[in-house]
Amino acid sequence: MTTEEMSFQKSSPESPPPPPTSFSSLPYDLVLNCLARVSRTRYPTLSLVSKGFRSLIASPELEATRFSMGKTEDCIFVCLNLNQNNPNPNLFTLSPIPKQQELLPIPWFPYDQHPKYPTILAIGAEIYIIGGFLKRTRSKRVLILDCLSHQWRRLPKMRLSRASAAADVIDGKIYVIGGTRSKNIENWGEVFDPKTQTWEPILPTTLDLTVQKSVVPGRLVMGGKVYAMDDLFQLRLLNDVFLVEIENVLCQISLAYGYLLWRDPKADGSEWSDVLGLTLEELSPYQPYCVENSGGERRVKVWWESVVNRRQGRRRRRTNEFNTEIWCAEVSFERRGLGELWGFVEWSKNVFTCDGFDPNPFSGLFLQSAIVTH
Amino acid sequence: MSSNKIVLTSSDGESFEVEEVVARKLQIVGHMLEDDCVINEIPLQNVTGDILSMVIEYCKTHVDEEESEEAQTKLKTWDEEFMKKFDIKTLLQIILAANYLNVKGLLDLVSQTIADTIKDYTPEQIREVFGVENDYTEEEEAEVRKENAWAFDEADTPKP
Repeated sequence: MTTEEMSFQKSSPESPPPPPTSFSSLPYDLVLNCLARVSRTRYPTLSLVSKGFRSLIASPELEATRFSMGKTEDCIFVCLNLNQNNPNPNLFTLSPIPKQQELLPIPWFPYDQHPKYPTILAIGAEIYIIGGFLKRTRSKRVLILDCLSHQWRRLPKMRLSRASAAADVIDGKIYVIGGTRSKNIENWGEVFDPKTQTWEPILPTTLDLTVQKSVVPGRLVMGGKVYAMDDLFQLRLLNDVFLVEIENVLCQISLAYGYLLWRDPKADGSEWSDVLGLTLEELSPYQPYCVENSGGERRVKVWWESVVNRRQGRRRRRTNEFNTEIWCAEVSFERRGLGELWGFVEWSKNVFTCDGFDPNPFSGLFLQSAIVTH
Repeated sequence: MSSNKIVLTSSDGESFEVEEVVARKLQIVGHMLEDDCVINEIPLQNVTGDILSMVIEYCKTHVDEEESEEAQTKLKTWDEEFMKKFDIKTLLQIILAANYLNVKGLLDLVSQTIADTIKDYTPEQIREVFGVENDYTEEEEAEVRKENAWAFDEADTPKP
């Protein structure tokens, strides 16, 4: 085995029994047919029904039934930068339950340390956690969480230690670029081929990145994120710009002091225009922070932070202590008429609160998110 | 297709005279008719009269499924209203009948309705519906909760 397979079976008192062939009121395949139509968010609750139900929920047959029905759901993973107060964990999922959206830490992280500033990349039902800092040192480690089995494993180590690298999947291969301290062009990027299980170096001139370079002229698009590249091919993430497909046109969405702007990167000389219909109060009085594609077309999530006075006691009095809140809003888009783009806030909520605040405006809590479809 | 009539008899002896095109929506009947086309009375051992009448009502409505969007929307509305009539216990009987009689459309419809119904149930309510015993010990249940702690709503978490 070339992969360092490390399956961490959740510590259950005993291995689950095989699924029963029938429940007293319904045969197995009919129950399966019903459960496959229930949202995954309900599966933990269903697992509590009985051991038989739990094995049914975890069974490959249920996945196969869901697959044949074409029933998939999105799950959003978020990486936070909680350096100051909470060393671990840094990885969260956004609970998708309407009106109760909040960031929940990922449990059973089987390695000793959460990386800081890794790159997270979703590939199908798996989330890749690439590089990042471990004990202030860049790491070569690549971890994978399978969101169906909830098991972790590792890829072979990268050739170079990288943090906040750009990453994307192209033709089934994983491309990781930048994030090193090296200026040596041979260390610019590398690609992992699952067939050979090896990392190979890549150069900025490689043809495999042609599409990534052509989406937004003069930029490199990796994993839906837009990077500027200098003369030495060093990458810089433009975290206020995002691409979203709106009615078959790839649009650039940008944030500027609380406003959402947009332009069609392919249209010659197209200027940035305001997204109409969005009022500032709805989004945030503070400067929004990051725009992320939100799965499916025509939607983005806007994340921002807000520092508030902590309140105490029954009368919720303000104290002189501060909390930092992470807010998330989901915005959908609609094109109307010639050159008009309208935005609508679907929901907006404080999804996470942590103690204290960081006076450094450049070290935000929210780093990145990725969407797993399963 | 002739307007040949066929009599369907339930396990409790209730008879329903239906047109052959309607009876053929029950694939189990369709297969019997192909095997021997002179049958005009069919006993259905695994379904009672009250449930069979519901299945027949569904088949009559869906007998000529038109492609047009308007017709589809109308059928969909009818399906929704039809399903609203039943409680979960009856839905379970209908799904069993739809499975036995092999009525694909009804099977899908009832499966979806059951899914939509049980999605907000507590584990206890689901046990009741499916006739399942809770075979977890307290420790085992706590373990399952712990594993999935990130995915539970507050409503599912037991109050101390």
